[in-house]
Amino acid sequence: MNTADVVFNIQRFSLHDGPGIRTTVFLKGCSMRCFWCHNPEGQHPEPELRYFPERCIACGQCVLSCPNHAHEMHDGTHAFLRENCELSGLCVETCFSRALQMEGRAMTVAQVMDEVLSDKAFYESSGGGVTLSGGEPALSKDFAREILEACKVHRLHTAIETCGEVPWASLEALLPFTDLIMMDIKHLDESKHQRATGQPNDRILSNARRLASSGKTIIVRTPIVPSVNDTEEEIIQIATFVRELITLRTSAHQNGNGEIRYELLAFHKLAAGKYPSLGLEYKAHDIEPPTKEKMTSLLNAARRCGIEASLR
Amino acid sequence: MAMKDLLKMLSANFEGLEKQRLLFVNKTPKYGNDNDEADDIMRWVFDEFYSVVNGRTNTKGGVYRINMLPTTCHVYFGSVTGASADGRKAWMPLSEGISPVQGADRKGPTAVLKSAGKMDHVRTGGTLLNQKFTPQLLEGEKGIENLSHLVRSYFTMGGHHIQFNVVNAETLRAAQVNPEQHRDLIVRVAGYSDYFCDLSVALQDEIIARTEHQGF
Repeated sequence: MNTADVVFNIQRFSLHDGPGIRTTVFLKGCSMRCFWCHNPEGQHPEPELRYFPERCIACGQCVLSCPNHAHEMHDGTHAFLRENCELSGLCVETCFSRALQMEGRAMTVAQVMDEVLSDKAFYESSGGGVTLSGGEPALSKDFAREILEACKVHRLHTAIETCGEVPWASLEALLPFTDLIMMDIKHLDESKHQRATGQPNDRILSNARRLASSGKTIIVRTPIVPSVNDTEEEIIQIATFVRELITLRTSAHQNGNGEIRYELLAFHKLAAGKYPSLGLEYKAHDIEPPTKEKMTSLLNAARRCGIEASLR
Repeated sequence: MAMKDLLKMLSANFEGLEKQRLLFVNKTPKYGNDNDEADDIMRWVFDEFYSVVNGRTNTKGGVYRINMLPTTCHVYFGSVTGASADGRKAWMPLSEGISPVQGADRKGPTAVLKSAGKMDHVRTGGTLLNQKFTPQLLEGEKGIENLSHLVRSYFTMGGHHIQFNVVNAETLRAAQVNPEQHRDLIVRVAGYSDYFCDLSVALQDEIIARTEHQGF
């Protein structure tokens, strides 16, 4: 219970990351860099200082509190010099307007469980539980495993959201305490995958096959991002791969253990505003979300491959 | 901070003291977040109110009981109440019934219900908790089911009454600008439902300002 790692959000009343009313714990750090990422604050494994200029009231307290000269005032306007910041966090304490905030803090398993168990009554009533997300939760293997194990002691439903780009042993360690796995497959073409996410896809696909053989319930997900994977041909490739996973499952578990389903998610731009606060550049500005018609035609293409698919 | 400094700030309605006001708004624990420190203060205030009012005789020979249902009076009461130490400026609406101060609940509806559940509802003639949801959150069978679990769990905790507004702020703002196109828009106000466009602008603003809970 003393194992600690960096958590950037604990989202209570989370309804879209598994069954029932849930709490989603977001672990910081990801192995991929998908350019449209909607949780960019989860990419870097360490805490980060976020600056929201629209909240700043130019009181100048941060300038006085910072030992590293990361804040300056020019003609009544505040400037944050990220390159000087050493994450002392002192400015955050004196920033009453919440223009400066620390994203992520090291928490122990016990601290996470304390927060998670606050909503136990809601999980019990609704068949909900806890989802580990991120970032990539399997990168914090021991921390993630201990949280899931503690949840199981309390008989909570458990789920993980993974990008799959981790050593197999890291995922395998979580399996005994995980009821539901939500895993992204973003592209079957290796070079296109690499361009879009910064990583090849061979380990992801091999992990997906091993997960399928494990008999766990799996939801395979594809975020539909125009210019990356929004053609019927590309979705049919992924859906065919999902059908292969189902075949693997059936041969490994005759009695048909947990199901494997496929979900398509539409790319959206709601995360664009997060990037500047982290000092990152948003590279999906020029991409428009796919239309409803587009999503429906891709869904139908996936279904024609003979798998259970839905839009989320 | 000394009490006399605090009182001076409140008398000044935080004029020229925005930094200090934001300290109260953003850096102090607030009721509605399942935070025991803040919720204990709520209980203390509740107990005081109860012990002062409950059982007093009225002019007709009956006795007073306490209710935690302001209907729309929280707007009026706010309009005659000076600045408060939670960072609320003078004449702004108070919170509604036992709902958290507008915007103070930052941990979502389950935390609001946990906080409200710490009140001893049985000692009142009724309590009012208002929650506002966007339609997306309650979409489909699953959305309705989750809502029912939310209500059931709240009642298990001793909650007495909860009501929901299901609209998004955009719709409400649009209705403020073009009332004739949104005449049919009904919102739960406080203990009753009303046509949004028939409400006063102050009450409309207040309904828009109430925290929107969104799923992620």
